[in-house]
Amino acid sequence: MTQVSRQVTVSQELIDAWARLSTDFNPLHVSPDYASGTPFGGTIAHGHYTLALMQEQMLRIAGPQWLTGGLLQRVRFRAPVRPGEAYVLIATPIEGRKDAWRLELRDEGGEVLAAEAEAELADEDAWSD
Amino acid sequence: MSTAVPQSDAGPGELPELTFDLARALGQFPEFEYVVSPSDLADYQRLAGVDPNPDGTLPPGFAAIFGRLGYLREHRMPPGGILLGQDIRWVTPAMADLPLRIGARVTSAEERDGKRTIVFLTTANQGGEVVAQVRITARWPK
Repeated sequence: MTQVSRQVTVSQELIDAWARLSTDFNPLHVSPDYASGTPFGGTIAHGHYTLALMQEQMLRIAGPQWLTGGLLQRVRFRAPVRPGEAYVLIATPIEGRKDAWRLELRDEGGEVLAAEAEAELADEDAWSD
Repeated sequence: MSTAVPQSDAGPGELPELTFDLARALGQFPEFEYVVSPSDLADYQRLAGVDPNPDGTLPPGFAAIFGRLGYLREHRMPPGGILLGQDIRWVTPAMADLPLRIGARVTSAEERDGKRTIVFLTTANQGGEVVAQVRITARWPK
């Protein structure tokens, strides 16, 4: 299987709508005035929006099997996802591992890594409470 | 969010902060019913850029939403918190038109060298069966 990617364009309208859907109204996401005074210098997208995109990417790649053992893990947020910018979500098969992918959300130019994770079709042993 | 999440229109200022001490004292958060309305579903599909699942299953990205709501439905995270890691496991498909039962607990709350770290585990059930689990590790500011 080869690399699979999709483009994502983030806007403040999208962030605001996601805030309503998720009920996460943290001003860092929805208040440009507040966010401009933080180290981020402006609003940023919710981390759970990025996670949702990763989940959907895996459903697209793995099919319905993703819902019966799909495991998204080792998620790391490396850089803020900002409105007005375009990103690409890339899924790459992990060499030497069956049904495992590395996910990366990068800026359009590919230089900035915003978030990364690993995804796999796993058995129950792969998860411990 | 529809009937399941009554604070859907509330800003964060209206919810009390979930402090480290409070999270540790609570240990477990009240279970609640999470209902995805048809308009929620349509909004999600538009925002995530996906088509409706032809089999009527809940889009997996909703786990990212209810994973957080499990412990922040009645509280807000104090400013300055950092999400360190997150794991999401789907066990079996959930149907979009049926309610989910969401519960969450603290599995670890440690303070070391002045840094507080909490691990939350949210579990979603539908019809008495676990459909998904979400583990969130966060640096807690206070």
